[in-house]
Amino acid sequence: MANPFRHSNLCSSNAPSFPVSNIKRTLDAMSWVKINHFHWHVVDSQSFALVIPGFEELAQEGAYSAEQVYTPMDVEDIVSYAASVCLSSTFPSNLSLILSQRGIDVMVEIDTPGHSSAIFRSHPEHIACPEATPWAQFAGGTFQSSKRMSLVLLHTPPNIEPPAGQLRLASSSTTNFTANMIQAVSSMFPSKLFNTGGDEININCYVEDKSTQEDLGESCLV
Amino acid sequence: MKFSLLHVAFYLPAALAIWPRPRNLTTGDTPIRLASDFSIKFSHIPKIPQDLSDAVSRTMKFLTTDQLQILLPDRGASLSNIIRSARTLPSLTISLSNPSSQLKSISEDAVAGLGVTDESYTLLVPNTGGAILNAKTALGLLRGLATFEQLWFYLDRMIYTLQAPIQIEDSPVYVN
Repeated sequence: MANPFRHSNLCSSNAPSFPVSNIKRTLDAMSWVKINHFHWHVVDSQSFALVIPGFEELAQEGAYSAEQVYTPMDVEDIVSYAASVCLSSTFPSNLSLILSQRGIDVMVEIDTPGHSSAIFRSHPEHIACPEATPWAQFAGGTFQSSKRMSLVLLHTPPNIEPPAGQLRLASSSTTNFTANMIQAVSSMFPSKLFNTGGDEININCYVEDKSTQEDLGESCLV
Repeated sequence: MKFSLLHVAFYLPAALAIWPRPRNLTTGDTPIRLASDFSIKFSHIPKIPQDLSDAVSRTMKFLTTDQLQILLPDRGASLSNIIRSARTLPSLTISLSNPSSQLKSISEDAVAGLGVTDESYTLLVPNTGGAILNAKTALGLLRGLATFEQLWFYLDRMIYTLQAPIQIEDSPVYVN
């Protein structure tokens, strides 16, 4: 559509919580230029803004404030705006009826195992090196993604951001928790697509995390 | 009249504002404007999805409220007579390439998965007679409506283009 990409995608990293009306305005502009996917990076290290049925404590403790969250009703509103037909009020049943009126598929991202520090607020047991300092040694970023990259980045500031904190990827309790949480989120969205992140891990965070090292030792990975 | 046509031709380079540019686009140099009772109609679509008729309502609203003026220093004021005396477009007729098939809603199309739904459409805005939008899916029709909305400029309560006939064939350029 002249839209050069069949999968043309606008990625919004808005864990800081843009108002729903701003997101809708953006969806309008997207439909005018025939962009057909909205990649919604709805949670991040700094704030866990998504209220997930069954996991409400994540946003309760992890969002910037009680107001700066997206409730299931907000999600329903945004998806159906990108979308349309009114849903029954009995969320989350009948989600297959959510219709994307503006021709935009909303793909949600729950970033794992990095960019997850805000989970520490409600579930300290699942997060390695939460808010550890000095953060430049523990927080995630692209500074250590490869040797070649490191050489390049010797001359440029590393692209890392506080706060530190990553899901304990070697803990079976954490992986179960994460899988269940992701399942709960996926049932909030009608899209066939889901993004689990996967970038910008700080290795040192796991090296220094006693619990992770014990779990890795038990599984004979170290 | 000769002067008028030359006058119009002079302004042509500024006259189209379709983003992104359709894959195939041919234009003429005849001014036309929307009739005051311009309407959008469905042709042989037995069951029209609610979100498609909502999209048509949005397009009608956009056409009358956008009021984008042509990007010229006088915003087209000197073309007023030409536009006023131009032929009018009575309607846009929406049709399906395969009218017998059950038309899915835009929403179902949108969440069907990567590359599943055909978003292509064709759009014809002739010098005389009505315009025609054709697609295989409701999502294709939505894309065509988005393009149709962008063909027009506004001046003194007239909604016009200087470039009829307009013929467009469009689809995403890259496939997943």
